[in-house]
Amino acid sequence: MRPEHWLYTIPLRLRSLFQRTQADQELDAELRDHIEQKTQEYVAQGMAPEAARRAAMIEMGGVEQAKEKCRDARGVRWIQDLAQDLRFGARVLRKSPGFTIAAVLMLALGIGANTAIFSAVNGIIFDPLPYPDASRLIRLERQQIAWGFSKEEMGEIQRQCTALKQSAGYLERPALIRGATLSQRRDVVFVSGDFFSILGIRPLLGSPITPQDTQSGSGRGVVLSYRLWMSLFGGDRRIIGRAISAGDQTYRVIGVMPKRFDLGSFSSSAESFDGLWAPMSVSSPIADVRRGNAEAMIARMKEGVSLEQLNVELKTISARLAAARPGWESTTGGNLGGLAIETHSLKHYVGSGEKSNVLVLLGAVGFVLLLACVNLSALLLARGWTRRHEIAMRRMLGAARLRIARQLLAESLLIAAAGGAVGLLFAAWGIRVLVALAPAGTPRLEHMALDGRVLAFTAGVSIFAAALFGLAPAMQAASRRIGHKLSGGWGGSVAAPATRRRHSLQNALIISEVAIAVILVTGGALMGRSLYTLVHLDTGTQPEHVLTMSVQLHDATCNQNREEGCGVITGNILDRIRAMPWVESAAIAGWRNPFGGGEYIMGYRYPGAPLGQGLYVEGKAGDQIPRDAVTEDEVSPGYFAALGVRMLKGRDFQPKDVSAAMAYRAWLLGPDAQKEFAKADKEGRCTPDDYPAAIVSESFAGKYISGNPIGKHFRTCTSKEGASWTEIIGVVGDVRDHSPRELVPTAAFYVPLSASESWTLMARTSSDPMIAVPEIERVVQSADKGAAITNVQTVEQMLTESSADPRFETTLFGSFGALGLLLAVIGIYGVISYSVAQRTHEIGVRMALGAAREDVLAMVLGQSARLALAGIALGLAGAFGLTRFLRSMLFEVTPADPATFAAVAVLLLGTALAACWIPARKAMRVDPMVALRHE
Amino acid sequence: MSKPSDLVQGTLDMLLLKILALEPMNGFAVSLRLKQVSGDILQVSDGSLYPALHKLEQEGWITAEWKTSDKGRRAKYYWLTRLGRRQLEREATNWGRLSGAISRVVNLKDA
Repeated sequence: MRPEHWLYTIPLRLRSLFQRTQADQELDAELRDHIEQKTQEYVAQGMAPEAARRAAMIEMGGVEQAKEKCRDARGVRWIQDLAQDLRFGARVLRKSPGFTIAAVLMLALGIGANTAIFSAVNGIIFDPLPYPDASRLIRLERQQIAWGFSKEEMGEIQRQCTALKQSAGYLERPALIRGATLSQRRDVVFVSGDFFSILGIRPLLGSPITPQDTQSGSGRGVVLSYRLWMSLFGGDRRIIGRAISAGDQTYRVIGVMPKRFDLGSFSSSAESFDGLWAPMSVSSPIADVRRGNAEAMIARMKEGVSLEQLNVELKTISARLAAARPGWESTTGGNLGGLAIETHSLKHYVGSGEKSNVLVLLGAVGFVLLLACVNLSALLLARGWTRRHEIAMRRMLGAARLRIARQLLAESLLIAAAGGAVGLLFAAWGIRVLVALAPAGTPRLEHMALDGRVLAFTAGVSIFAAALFGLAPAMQAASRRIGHKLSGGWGGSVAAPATRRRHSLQNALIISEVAIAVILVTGGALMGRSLYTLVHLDTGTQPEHVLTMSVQLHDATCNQNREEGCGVITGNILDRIRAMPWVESAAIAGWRNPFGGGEYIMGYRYPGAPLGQGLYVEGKAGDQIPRDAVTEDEVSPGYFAALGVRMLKGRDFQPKDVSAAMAYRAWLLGPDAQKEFAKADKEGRCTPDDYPAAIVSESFAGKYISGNPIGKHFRTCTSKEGASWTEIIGVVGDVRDHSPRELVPTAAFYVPLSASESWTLMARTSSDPMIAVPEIERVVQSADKGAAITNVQTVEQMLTESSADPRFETTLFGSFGALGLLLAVIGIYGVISYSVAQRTHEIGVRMALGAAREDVLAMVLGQSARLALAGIALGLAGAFGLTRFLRSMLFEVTPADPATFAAVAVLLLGTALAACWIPARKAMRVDPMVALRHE
Repeated sequence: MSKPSDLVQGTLDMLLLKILALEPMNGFAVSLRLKQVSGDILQVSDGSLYPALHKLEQEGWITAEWKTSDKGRRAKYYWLTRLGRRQLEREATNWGRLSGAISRVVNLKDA
């Protein structure tokens, strides 16, 4: 029925719309024909031609009315009206370009900001997992995360779990990857066979890792992430088949994943993945994993299976698996809880942190748009006043109220459309700024684009804005009483109901402008304060002029014998660097960098490490200090001086400490230690890790040691017969970076760096540290031709990077706050100017009756101040309710920080008064004679 | 006299459809025929006839074309579409049911 219906109706509607003249001509001809025939008929009945014609006309009951009704029957009347309104609106807007440009720009600012933010977050909100059928993807992990899954266990789960369609394990480890020209430390994710088919993403180039690659145990094909491919191989499409080395293994590139596949292991979802995937195999270089081959598993559930069903099934399986691991009960005290398997939907991991932040961001930028809309309302209201004659005239000529309101709304719609279009331009620019400002590795940033969803969003927002800012002024203008308008006395002298209503609308606009600005500025100010706290956090170092770089030695002698190979080469390099004229001091550390690298959480050191590993302090009756985060670093003598860390008590390492540590390391690598490890393993004890001497940080000493720490002892393992204690020989200040997690300094201890094939250089120079880079690189290369130098940067750069996330967030909220303040100033200025202009007559009367100029100024300012105060109170209440959503982004500042709230209140009051200062002065200069004669 | 507004709602549509179902004709002929068949009881003013015809046309129930009549005049001729025929059947059935019900009520004998 329907299609056939359209067959007739659509051509007719189109004809009515686009061939209106012809349709009207035909209508005219048809009716004329009717009247002629009727006339002829009457004439035939004997009437005089003139009378016959009149009779025919009368029967028609008014030709024009009949025509109008026929036109109404066409059903396209509203479109024609709309088109007419839009044409008229466009003409009106063209006639006042100043107003139009201001309105469009204001709205474009709001819409542009919203569109840019929306395009940044649209992926995270609507498409958090870019995989087909992502809702059935889950991650399995051991309740005790570090325990992971062995190859056998993964096999058992694959065989026994009927709720899962496919499952695969993975393990993430950093390794040095050698590219075409440069080498970089990146994460390698070792995956078992079904990893890629579970996720269901095809590679951009080549093929993925398949079960065949991992079953043979000798798979050598790796898949590169898009970012790795771009950064290390310049996006070379001939990469497939090329050999690549990662760590001490050589692989062959078999595929490159597409850009959007940027989630590596799902555990570190905060950054987009820039490493590679290698097949998990027996020979995988997983030296430190003694019990688990995979840290976690991912799986795809069968259709129609719920997470609850899966959990029930996994419970029985994990109990069986635990029973098959003898010896584990003893160490866990019969509690198998740690071996239980937990399941989480992958969505739970990916972007779960960002999502709430992103919504907060959208909320904040929504307030910017709201403020722009309120401003436009104010502008339109003022405009309605200046157009009151025109509107009154049209009402007099018979235009219905609704018709006028529709006409005014059409103007708003035009402004909104233009604002949306210009806003898109702003957004395109804003997206570029966002990409440039965002911290490196922000997930899915590269996918930001003005896609269909974003365009739909912008269109929706524009229409919504048009309704929001256009409705109140349109209703107001249309509902003004006509008689009052044309009677001549239209000053402010007669307080007609409409006038009072207009005033209350004006007041509401000012109050809401101030309130919204307060909310925006408060958000920005809180973020700013929190960032200030972070950046001014004492790092405990003197970062100026300190250069760092990671060096990975490659010399064959180093592999054969650490002490005599690596140790000698490292010593040579260090001596030569220290001899350089611009190097004041130089030292090395065993981990990646002094800030946050090598985190070592007691009790969790290795996957599969037995419980019992912890911190034991002499004199504390063998008490194990509960699992806390303690960082450990290996450093060479002079490290603290080079980095500028204060030596609080005791002394730095000396060569004798280094030799003692070397001897200990030699024992560690010897057969006795291996026997000891095996025994500890069997007994479920941890392995000894006791250095002869250590330097501890201030917070380590404060937290774990009572009294003077020098000469006290601690160790990091359960008591072992004859095990020695580590002696504390010095205390240094806490070292921390500018990242939020470092607000409370981590307890740290340092042991002497004996010898290692990879270390981080710290060199304090007398001027710009980057100048020394080529010379230092030459020294390293001449000592070891194959050495890889990575992460060359200054400590200052490193510190700046550590606060990149909060900096970015603060920049965004700060700019929203600034934008809000600016919009509020413009809006308040506009509304007050308008109301002063409107009250010129009244002010003139007041002055004629004896009011002084100061009184007028005080009156305008006082009224504005009252409104501003109301707005501030409302805004502070709103901010109090809303800033709690910022909590996760705030550090050392509570969301209801009284100082910030007070400062914002004062700022807004000052701003509001400044904004109405000019119009108030104008009111003051009103000449009573001119004002009264103006009537 | 009965004016179109006195016609039961929607009845005019049905009458027009029925008249056009007999043969295609122009607006004037429709007005004549209407008067003729209803014996002057149902008078539809010309001012209401044309909007009604145009509405039917917009609904897709009738369609129109300019033709030259046997007397050599150009006039807009209307005729029923397939949709219109179906609509007429529907309305006629409804009307039958309604008028039947009404006459049953009106003819109720006092108990």
